[in-house]
Amino acid sequence: MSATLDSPARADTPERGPTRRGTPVAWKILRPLASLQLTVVLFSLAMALVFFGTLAQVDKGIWTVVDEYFRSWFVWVPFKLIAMFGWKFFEIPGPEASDPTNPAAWGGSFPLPGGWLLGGVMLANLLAAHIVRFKFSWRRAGIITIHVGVILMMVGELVTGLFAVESRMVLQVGEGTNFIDHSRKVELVFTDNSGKSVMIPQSMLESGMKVSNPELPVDVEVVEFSKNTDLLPASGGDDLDGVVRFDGIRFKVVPTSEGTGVKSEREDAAAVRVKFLKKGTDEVLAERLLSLWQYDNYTGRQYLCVLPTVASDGKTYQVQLRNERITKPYTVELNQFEHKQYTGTTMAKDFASTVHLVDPQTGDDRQVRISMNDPLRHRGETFYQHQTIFGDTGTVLQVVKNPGWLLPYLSCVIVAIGMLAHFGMNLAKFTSRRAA
Amino acid sequence: MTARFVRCALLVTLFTAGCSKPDAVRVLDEPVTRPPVKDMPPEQKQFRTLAALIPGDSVGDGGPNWWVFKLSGPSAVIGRFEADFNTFLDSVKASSDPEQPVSWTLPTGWTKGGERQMRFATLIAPEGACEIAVSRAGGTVFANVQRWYIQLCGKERENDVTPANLYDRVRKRMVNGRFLLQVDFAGPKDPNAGTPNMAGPHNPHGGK
Repeated sequence: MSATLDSPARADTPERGPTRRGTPVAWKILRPLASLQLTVVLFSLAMALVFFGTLAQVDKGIWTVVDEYFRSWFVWVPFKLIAMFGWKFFEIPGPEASDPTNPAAWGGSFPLPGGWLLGGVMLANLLAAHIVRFKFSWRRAGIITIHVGVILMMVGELVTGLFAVESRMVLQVGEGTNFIDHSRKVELVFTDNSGKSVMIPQSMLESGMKVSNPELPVDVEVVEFSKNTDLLPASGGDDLDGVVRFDGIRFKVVPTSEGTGVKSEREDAAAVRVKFLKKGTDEVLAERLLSLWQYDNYTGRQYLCVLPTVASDGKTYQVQLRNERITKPYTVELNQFEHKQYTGTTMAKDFASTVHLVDPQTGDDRQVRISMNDPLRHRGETFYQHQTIFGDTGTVLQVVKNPGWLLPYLSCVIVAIGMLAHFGMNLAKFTSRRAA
Repeated sequence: MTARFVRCALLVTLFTAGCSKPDAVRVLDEPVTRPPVKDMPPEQKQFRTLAALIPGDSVGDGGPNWWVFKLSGPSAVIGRFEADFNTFLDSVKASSDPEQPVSWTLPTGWTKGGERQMRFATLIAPEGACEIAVSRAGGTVFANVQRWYIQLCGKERENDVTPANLYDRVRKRMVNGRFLLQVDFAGPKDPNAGTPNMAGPHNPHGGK
């Protein structure tokens, strides 16, 4: 960024030498780190990353791309993306013109620095440039302010990437709850009759993994984990791993590719095929396919199922795959749900949920109406009106917690002030010179 | 200079540090505190309905999807045959065979009755004390369950059954590999006294 705003070659921005500041060792590290050439390379790589990250959404889900390309250290970019781009926009045939997107024809991939690495080095580059080259003066206040804003924006993305959580709260009219469902993570849960749950996180549900834990009633072997599944109408067979819609239509669950960034109508429905093993042995007690289609909150109460059970030490445990549950110290009850439509049409005009929030720790006990552009904010979380449950019998609230939500706004304001100051001062200087 | 460098290094380290600890199996006590469902006072439970819904294999034929099995009448009578009804449900098998879309084993002493309009079959209890009506029905689970409740408790209490408490009133289980929903309602009104069937059960098999 210093490349476009400032030039170290100018006579008024001399490099400061080790004789004035710091030790020679630090100087040896900082000087190449502050290089303008490095800035240009980083920007070029960042542009390439955005380009390939955008292309990758043809095949992959938006969050998969965010994780693989932008919130990672390195990414292996498949050559197939280049072939697809060339074919789509310039009709350049690949090695097999009949199928330019054939992965076999365009095998292999090349490495590219991921977002974390590029962002980190960019930040280091910018800070090093300030230490090595820039000298503070009121004349440079605008530039420095702009850079502070840019640094804040990068820190904001770091905070968002590390700490932001998007989740959902699903409620039917008259129902109250004290938990939210993580939108992107699932867990396998064993619940006994008393309500005690033992949960295996998604990171331990990869194909081939075996999970043993003293708290679990059985050992669990993961046969296959599917990021996404679909429902196909079923005829014959049984309902053991399937679901039944509220109107009696039977469905079986089948693996499918993940929803892509360019075409995705719903959140991915993960599924996991697991074997329940007698503790400490390889004796298979049962094998079942568990999916999010069997989780009420994922389906908006549209599908029914009977969850499998396992017995151990005289207790019976119900087993379910569900979105990762985050319990809260407060409860939210849905009192009323409104779905207004434009007169004479079925076009939605407004959705609104009237909820009763009770938080014993903060003393909150209030009724709040949440509508499309009027969210509820509580304990650093924002509750947005998101969806409706079928038949308008309830609501789906999107709950977002992002400790860095203010930083992008703040950084934009700071950058704007910096630009105004920088260009204002230059304009003033120019007009005064001209007048002279 | 050194202090600046340290600050710079700290910021860069933040990128590389990784701030989350690895996931692990976790335990959570989640006491289930569902609000109690509204029920009729005991003195008003003169009549009772035991009913079950099983999804059929009707995909593509455009017909209703549910198989309905219903035993209703005076509470004292239904109580005598409750065990028979449950035994009967345990034997029900839905199938994709159009010649025999559903089959069952009759409890001891029960007989198959004659053809009736709107029914797939009628199964008569010993001495004709009561009967199980087998039919097909469309509509949602909620529409069917609420209708049965209204037949027993009256339209004025229809809001006792809501989408939020529906599955607190319904037992879900697996029978012969197929899904089954079962309800047990009691109320002051005779459910066989001619309440119209709103969800539109029909009999595509002509009572065979």
